[in-house]
Amino acid sequence: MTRRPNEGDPLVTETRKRGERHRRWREAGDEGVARRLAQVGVLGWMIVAPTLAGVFAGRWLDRRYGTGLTWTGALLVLGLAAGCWSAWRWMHEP
Amino acid sequence: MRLRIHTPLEVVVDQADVRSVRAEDATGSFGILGGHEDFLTTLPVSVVSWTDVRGEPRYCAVRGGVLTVTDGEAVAVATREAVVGTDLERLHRDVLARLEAAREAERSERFESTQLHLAAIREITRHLRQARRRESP
Repeated sequence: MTRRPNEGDPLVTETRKRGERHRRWREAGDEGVARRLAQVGVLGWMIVAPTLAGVFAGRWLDRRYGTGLTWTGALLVLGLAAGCWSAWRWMHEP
Repeated sequence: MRLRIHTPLEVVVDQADVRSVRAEDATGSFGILGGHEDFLTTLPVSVVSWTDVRGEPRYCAVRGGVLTVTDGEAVAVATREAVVGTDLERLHRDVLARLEAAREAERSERFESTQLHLAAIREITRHLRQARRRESP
């Protein structure tokens, strides 16, 4: 179909946008409270889990090579960064 | 509640059995039920929706405007242009059809006025030619 001259009129584009939203809402429905809570819960764990994994791995390496806290600190920060990054990515998924 | 939506040329909606109205302004979307405090706001280009007492939804695309609530039972929207529909997902087609029709009407009006103009000129030249012929035998 060729583009009609009134296609770009704000009244048309705004109305179409709302129609699209309405269609999406009708097809997907409201997201449940439980789902939202699960989403928020998972977000927390996505940050905490890699951080903890980093700490445990760091402790193990420190004990093995006798380096005090170097590995623990380094891997904690790394784990935290990885967790935040993956949480960020997950949040911005559609 | 009573809802009135009007443009400078016509009253588009005048419905008395409205249960709730939804609209949006620069701060976001809002809803109005009976008994609302007096209220005045400006609407952007958007869609005003409402339901009557049977719960039937209706929609109206507005080209900007002003929304007022008075005495908790009268909602009035003054706008430049309004298109009413019962299906939000098809409303943009109605809007498009309406704009198209207006364009077409304007074009045909212009065409007719040009035709009238040309006919008048032709008539004048005919009269002038006849007058000249009468003067010089």
